[in-house]
Amino acid sequence: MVSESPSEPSKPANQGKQPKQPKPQNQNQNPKPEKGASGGEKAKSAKDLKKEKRAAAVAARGGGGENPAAEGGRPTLSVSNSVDSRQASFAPPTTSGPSKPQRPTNFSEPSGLSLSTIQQNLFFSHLPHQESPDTSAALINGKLHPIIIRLGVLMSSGQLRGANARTMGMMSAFREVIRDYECPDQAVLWKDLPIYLSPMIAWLEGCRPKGVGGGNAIRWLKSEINRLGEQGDRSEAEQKDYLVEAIGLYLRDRIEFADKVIADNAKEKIRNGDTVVTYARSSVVERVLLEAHRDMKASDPEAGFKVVVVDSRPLLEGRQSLEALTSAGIPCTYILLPLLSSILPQADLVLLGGSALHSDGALYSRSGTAIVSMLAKEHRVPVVACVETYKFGEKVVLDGVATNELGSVENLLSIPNNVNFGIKKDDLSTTGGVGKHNLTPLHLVYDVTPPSLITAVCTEIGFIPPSSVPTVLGKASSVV
Amino acid sequence: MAGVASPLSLSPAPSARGGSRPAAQSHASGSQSGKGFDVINAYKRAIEDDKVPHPIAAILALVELIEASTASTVTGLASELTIGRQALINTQPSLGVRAGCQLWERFFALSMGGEDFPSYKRSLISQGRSFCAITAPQCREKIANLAVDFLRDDCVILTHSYSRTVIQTILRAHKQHKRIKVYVTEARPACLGMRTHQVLTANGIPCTVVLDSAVAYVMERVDMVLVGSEAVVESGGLVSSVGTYQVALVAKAMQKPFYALAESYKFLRHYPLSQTDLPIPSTSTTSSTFISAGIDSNQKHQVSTVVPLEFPTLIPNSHPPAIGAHNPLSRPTSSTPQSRSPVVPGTPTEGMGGNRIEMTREMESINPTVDVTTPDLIDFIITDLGAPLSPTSVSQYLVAQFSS
Repeated sequence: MVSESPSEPSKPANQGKQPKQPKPQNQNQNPKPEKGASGGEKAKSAKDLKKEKRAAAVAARGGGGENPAAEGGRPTLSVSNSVDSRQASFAPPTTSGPSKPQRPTNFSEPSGLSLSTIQQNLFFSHLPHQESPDTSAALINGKLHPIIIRLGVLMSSGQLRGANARTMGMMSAFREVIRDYECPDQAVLWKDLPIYLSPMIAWLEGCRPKGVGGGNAIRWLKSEINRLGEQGDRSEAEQKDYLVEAIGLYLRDRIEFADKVIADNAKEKIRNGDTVVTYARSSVVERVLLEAHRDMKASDPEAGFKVVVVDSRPLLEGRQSLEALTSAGIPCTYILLPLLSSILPQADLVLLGGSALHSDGALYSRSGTAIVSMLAKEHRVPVVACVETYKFGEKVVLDGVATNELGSVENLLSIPNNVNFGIKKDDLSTTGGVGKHNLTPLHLVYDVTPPSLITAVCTEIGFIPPSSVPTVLGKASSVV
Repeated sequence: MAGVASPLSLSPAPSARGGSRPAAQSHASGSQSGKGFDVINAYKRAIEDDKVPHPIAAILALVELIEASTASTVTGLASELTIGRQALINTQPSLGVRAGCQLWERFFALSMGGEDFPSYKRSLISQGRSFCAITAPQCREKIANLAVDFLRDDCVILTHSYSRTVIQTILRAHKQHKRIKVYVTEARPACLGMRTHQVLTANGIPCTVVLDSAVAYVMERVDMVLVGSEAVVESGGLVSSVGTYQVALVAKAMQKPFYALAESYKFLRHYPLSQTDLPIPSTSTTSSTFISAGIDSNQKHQVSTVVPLEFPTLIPNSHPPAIGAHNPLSRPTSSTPQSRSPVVPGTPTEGMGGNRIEMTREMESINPTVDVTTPDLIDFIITDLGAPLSPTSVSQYLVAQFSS
């Protein structure tokens, strides 16, 4: 995934350079003075708080390990540093020039829009928003491995989407980082490496929150590094090899094989003549459907099932999944979410993917999933969530407000045929606050589906009811 | 597909069923020829004993298989067991067989290793035998002990069909001088409710047989519903003789407590999403007539299921059959319409009693024998594992057991 992409972000460089460049700078420079003066106080303090928190987190990670290293050498670098330099770099426009075009064309410039308007909204001001990462500052500061920077850009631009893809991208990037890493002379690898990695983890988190699955993977990686400390004498190269291999095994066992087993399990539930409803896009669900189709055709060429791909604005991810399914020869129907209530009574199964499954069995998935499950429950259609166990989170999340992500609102108001209701982007962004039109566009990326709406969770250990998630979590933690 | 079935081994059971499972037969005989051991017959012998439930009979059959086995390695024995298991699962309609086979498989996998092969085999056999002879009956005892506390003096119980565990519980309460009255459903088509009635009245317990269609009528007089089960599935639901689901629904609607009794060897690793989502092989003598050419392709998967209560694809009085066959909304069965026998199961026959029209055998045979009671309708599942479990904790127990 990642290996293909270097050409992609660089390709739009020429196209994206000219038209986009002037705007972001204006947007970014303008709000800043205003913020201090007018109602931006809250937003700013929130940002400061966040900065402090991150710095504290970095310090805590480093402090537990090794102090001398944290004081002088490269590990000290902290995110607060990088944030400062990021802001500073806006001042001389020339420095930001060369790196800006790396942003892909389809990446909208949400910073002005989302920052100034949404942070005014008290209910959602605490949520992280997708912000364009400042690659130039990141490159200059030199503490971040280039592959991590590229990954951050891919994540925040939305080119690398989906929990599995992002986690795999992140872990394979860290694998490269560990390969390239050289432990300083006085330091011990298992103490130094986490300090070396933590600014990168923080930077990625700034590009896009890594989610429960990514968090679990990072936690696992840190515990693996810690275990190196217990294992005693091994050369640096051996330790690095061990980690590289372990990451490979993790990716294989927890994601690739897990998906394979999930597909094997879930395809048993799709029978000849069924109508299967899916929502948006999930790599696992796609795989289940493709394999079910392949198997069914292999056993009986006459047999088959239909798929209804339900989609919703503004991301319209279902289209990609539609492409994969139709090209495999599966008869598909494409509808948008509002039409679902008329289609669902004819459905036999709802298959959902998810970003996380919380310990109460609640599914954290693309916003709109809860509506699909609600309707399915109403019509007594079984809802199966396909989730790998590495996405199981120990938290309990009660609603989609406390934890969520703010997506780009760019596309919310511009509908495809360019009717803008007379609202220009500048109206929203430059005035600050809710703008001339008293309007706060809001795009939450995820929502929470309560466990009562989910019939079964399909994992690599088989089908389980959502109520059994804690059992699985308990087992997993006892193993690790 | 393995070659032609050898006439020596495995001949009686499948051929008695009109050769309904050619694939299963060739499976077992093809790779096991020379051993000459027939698991299915062993199973049938075991199940003849009225006291032996399906899972235990399956385990007994597998233990006998080990005894008869000439394999000299653990791997060889394991592969023979796998073949035997598959033969049982693919031919026996009871889900309890599958549960028993799963249990034995897990036991086999866990006990592997350590000793040398002969002593390992001996210990497997002795453990299997003692489990079937001692542990299994104890399970029922334990359940009866636990469940009897739920029965108050002077209470009215509704039970469905015939369950040895339920009867044992009621008899125990009777012995404790609790005055208990029992309504039992007739449970068509097997009418096993009559057997329950027979046993209870013989023991002096007032018992009335209720029509299956009168369950809702009688529910207001009932204090609690007590049922047995064929298997407990991972969702925490029950698979048991058909009609249990509707009894549970009526009980829920009338807010009567619904308790299920299940021995822990009936726990089955399966998660049904709907009534038709059960791995029941299509081997009852009548439904096998519907299957012909389609079976070979279906055999690749573990079990080919025929969905009960399909609408007939041929309508007797010469309506064009096109509607059923090509309507995109209708669900075709796994066997293609062409392969169905021309005997239409929809035609009723005149019964002996004059005007009354009765169901034909074919009509009965396309009806299901078991249904799935969803966990939300069950108050408690009383098992031999200790305190009565809610369906949620049953599923948690199952997940903990199977995910290891």
